[in-house]
Amino acid sequence: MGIRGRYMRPATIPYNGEKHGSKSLERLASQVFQQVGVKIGGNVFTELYRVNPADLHKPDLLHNIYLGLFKHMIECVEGFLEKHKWQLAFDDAWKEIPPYPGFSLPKRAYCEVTSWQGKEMRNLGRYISAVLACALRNPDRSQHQDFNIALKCVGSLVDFSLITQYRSPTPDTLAYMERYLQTFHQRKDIFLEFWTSKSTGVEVNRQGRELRRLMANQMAQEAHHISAAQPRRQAD
Amino acid sequence: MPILLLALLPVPPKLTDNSGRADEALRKTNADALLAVFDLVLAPLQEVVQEGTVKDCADGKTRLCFAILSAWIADHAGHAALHGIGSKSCPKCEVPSKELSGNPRKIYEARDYTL
Repeated sequence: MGIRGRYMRPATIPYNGEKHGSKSLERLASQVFQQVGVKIGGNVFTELYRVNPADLHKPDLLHNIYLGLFKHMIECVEGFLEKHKWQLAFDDAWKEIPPYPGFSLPKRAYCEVTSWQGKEMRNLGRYISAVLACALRNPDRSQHQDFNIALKCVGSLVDFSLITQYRSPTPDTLAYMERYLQTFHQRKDIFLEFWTSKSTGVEVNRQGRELRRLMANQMAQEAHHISAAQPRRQAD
Repeated sequence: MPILLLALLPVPPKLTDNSGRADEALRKTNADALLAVFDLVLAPLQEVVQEGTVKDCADGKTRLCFAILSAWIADHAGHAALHGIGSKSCPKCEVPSKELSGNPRKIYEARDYTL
């Protein structure tokens, strides 16, 4: 039940003038607000006529995909390559990207790129899947499964981003998007250790932990935005 | 695409880290300042939303038009600030932060707080 429902139903707010003072009501309200993530400041769109603030958020390619999911994806991929000591193969594959019409080649080696803007991220989406597949082509027996899952995860995210660029969606392309997003969600656990420090088993410094926690939250948030924007079928 | 500068948003002063109460007061002031600026910026739009305005149409006729704010393109940090929510919250629905990476199909209550 949402915050509105909770306030509209007096039974859920056990306010009694004698038993509960204004302070306890204030505390209760702040708990309710905290639960649903609302801060004290208020929403700048609330008092606009005929506007529902919750409808104003529209997922867009630049913020949600390129600077959102892709940004976290490459950070996770970096962590993954580092763990398996596979960065060199990735750098080599990156340098070997051949030219192709309508395709802008990266001007610098992967490790030399310092600023990832929307344009760089969009270009990265065009070749990250191929470069990663090329870099991870000769895994050990122990790495085989992990590499396959990582490739599937990155591939499905890239596929999703490519389908989102279709100008006119059809039921088929929407079904593809849904399927790719589902595959991404099913496989994303392979990168979990690079999002949070829970399962790494390796002692990392506090700053690193904090960064990964923030990253995980942000990534989950962006993924949630995209899921929310998908047309939903009736739940089974 | 024509771009018209309407206002410059205030950059809030940094939190002092001295006392929780002072920081809380500063947060409230910052939020109020942001709210005040947006009230100012969006005020002319409100008249048009209520009364409508006559505009030329592509078919040569004139029509009564109501300009209603329907989208706000920003990144998550921008939305979090404008909607007055935490950085781990969703501007659309009340998904708890713990459930963010959970079931993507689960539907949560929308943030509709109009009374």
